[in-house]
Amino acid sequence: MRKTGNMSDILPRFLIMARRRDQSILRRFFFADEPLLESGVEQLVESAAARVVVTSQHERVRKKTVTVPKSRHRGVRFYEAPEPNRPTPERFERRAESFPLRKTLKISRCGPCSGRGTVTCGPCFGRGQDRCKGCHGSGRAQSGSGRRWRKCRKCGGSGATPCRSCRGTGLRQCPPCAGEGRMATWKEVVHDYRLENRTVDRYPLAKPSNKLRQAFSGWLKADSDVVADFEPGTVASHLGYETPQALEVTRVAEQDCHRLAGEARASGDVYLFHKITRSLTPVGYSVVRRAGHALYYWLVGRGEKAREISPAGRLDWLKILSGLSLGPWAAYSYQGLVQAFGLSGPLWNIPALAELSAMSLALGVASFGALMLVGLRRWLARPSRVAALGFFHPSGEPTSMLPCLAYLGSYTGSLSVVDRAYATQTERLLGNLRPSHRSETLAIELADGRKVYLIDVARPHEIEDSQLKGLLEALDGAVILEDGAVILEDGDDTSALESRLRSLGPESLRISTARFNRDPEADPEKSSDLPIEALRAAFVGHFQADVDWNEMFGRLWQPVQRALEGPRHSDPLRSDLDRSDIQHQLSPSESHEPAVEVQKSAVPAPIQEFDEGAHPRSRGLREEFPHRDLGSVHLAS
Amino acid sequence: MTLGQYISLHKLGSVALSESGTLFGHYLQYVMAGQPFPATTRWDKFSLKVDHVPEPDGNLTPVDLVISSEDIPGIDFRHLVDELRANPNLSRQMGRTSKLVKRFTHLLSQCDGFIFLIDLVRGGQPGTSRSKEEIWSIFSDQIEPIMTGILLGEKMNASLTHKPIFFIFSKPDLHGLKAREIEEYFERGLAIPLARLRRSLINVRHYNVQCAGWGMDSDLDRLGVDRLLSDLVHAMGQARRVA
Repeated sequence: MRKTGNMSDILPRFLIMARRRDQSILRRFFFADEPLLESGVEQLVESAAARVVVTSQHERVRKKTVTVPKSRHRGVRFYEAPEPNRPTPERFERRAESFPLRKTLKISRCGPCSGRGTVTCGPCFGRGQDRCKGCHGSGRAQSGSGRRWRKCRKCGGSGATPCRSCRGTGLRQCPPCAGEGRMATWKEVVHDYRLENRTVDRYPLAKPSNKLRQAFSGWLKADSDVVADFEPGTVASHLGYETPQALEVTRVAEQDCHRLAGEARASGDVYLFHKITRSLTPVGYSVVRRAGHALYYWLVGRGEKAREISPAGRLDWLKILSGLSLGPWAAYSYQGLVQAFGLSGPLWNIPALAELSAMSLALGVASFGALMLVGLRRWLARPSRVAALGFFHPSGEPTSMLPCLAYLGSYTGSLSVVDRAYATQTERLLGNLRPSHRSETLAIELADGRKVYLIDVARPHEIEDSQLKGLLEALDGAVILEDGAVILEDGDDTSALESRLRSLGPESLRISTARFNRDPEADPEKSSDLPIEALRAAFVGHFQADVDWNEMFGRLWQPVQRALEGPRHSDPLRSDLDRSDIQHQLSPSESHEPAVEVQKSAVPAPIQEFDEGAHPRSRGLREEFPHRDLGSVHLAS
Repeated sequence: MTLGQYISLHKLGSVALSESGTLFGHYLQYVMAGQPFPATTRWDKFSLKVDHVPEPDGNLTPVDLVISSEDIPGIDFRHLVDELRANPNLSRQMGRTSKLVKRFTHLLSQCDGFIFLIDLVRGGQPGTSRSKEEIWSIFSDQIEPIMTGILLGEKMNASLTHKPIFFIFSKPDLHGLKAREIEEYFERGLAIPLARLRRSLINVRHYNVQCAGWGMDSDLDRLGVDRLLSDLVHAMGQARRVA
């Protein structure tokens, strides 16, 4: 069974969104071109905020003193020590458990009655008699006709009746001891199980947008949610209990713990916390900057429930105004057509249009000219199409493929890295590979000007089919990297992954497969598999003169080329690439006059007069590094 | 200083006294005393006028060139480097550039070439061996922010095309790296930004120098100063050859 994990990686979804925007005809008409992929992701904040559900299961332990009449303690089950039956988190419910302790049982004389079991009757003050209500204590009552007085029948002429409370005894049963005269006292340990939730509504991020607020409104309506506020720029390694967000939530929960503990200390109680659960919903954003204009791309949630908020595009007012100016021109043209074809009748001759057309001739000409200029400008400055390619590894483990492509390609002059990811690529090249759960990208520009967006997809086997399908629709090709030294479990091998990609991806998706070798000690030239790690190690640490870096890069590029199946414009696979003649790598549009000046300036070529003969060291270096241009002059010490 | 002394001794040009005469005399005292220069604490301008350039065959090529430096104090440059590292996206539209960054970008647009002195001893003990990863880190820490700034400057102002950028690595006796090693670390460690710079027709060159020491009777010959001067001039491509 395939794992149903969440693809929390923002980059693949960003890619999907960017591709959809680029393909929208309507958007292209009203909005300025946004070649998002060319700029690359400037900043990626994966967990800028989070929606947290905090459930705290408390067990409050306190002691209670119980005092009952002596006879009642016989029915109480006493414990030698408390034996709480603590519920599991799954069965946690609000209830209380009491444990009377036998060793604390004491039998004592009842204080209120001093052990007698009776107390003075309060209503009659111990007299046992109350004033007769029939004669009000006089002993005489009037007869029926009211003329004669006779003896009160209720009290018999005494004026007093027996007290109903004490029945004339003047004493009542002592209530605390129930007339027993003795009390049983003991202490109980009470375990109170409680559930507590905390709800705090806050807006996350330093740059919230209305759309983001709307996206969060659905979450905020839910019960028991905590939206924590975090500093933007915090990049969490992964969501969970180790992230800064989780630490923040922990701090909030700990505040509750401290508060309750403070209360407990005052009362002498003890608090035990069984479980504090935190469910995090990440909010991430990436910043893409193009010509100083920042685009924020938001992703709220994870996996299937993630909601994408597209950055607001820049309205192209020139486009819009030019389009609006077509109106008068269209009116004038319409009037002209009507007259040219001799059409008549109310259906064809519209007076308003006639007046409008008369005034709009100049405007129409001007707008037509503006449209031509705009169109020409757009056509000349049209961004080159960006191809997107994904690298998939059956086990999802990171490889050094991207940094090797970036560095070897740059070193050999076959490509240049467009985005500012070279700091990250340096880190990866030195052996600090990307986290296994996070995808990474690399935007490159080939020598022919074509741009390619490479994405190293993390854990493809954990991506759900619907998400993977969306990603594949945004890609032009896919490269499956098979580790030649790893025997994968059944169901996760390369063929299974390839089958899955083919079944989910569009028919236009090109898939290529390449085996690679993780052994850093392997001989790059003799290894039949792609010696990625060996190349990485050699590039970093071994300045060997016998490594043909052009050829090595060509081997790495082959599966990429197959996946792209593009025309071999720059032919990065050329083994005869001579770096000293860089101008061949430049597209014609980028060459500058004069040609001789270009050759001299573009290439840090050694000055011939100095290299030949006068400086044997330079000559020796040239022999040692035939493929490297030696632009340096080494001064004698 | 060395270039100014050399062109003065060999009558290849002169130090612009109006701008840097006082400065030249100030630093000359330290040179004659064999003491290291004090740390730069202010923006000093040093200007040389070069009239002739020596060629390997011994001839002199007449040129009309002014080599001027806008020396940036070390502490200011560290602040600049830190800001470039923390905020590589510098643009006026963002409104977050400091005065220092603005001056740097202004320099990029006004200058015809750039010389960066790189200290590979920084961050480590002089004379101690370091691993390759450490050396990569040193290159990355010092040079990458510069590259970032240059690339940004190139993006903001295309006039960097054809302009040379020189990286001078000093103190080989302290960092212990050979010239070949420096070259390979430089070319490999900075392959990505170098590819972008060269693709933009920015000329990048590097030199390894070591303090030669002056003597009162020294003409600074056979130290390579002539080759450095000639290479600087020719790489600039700005020298106007007087027929």
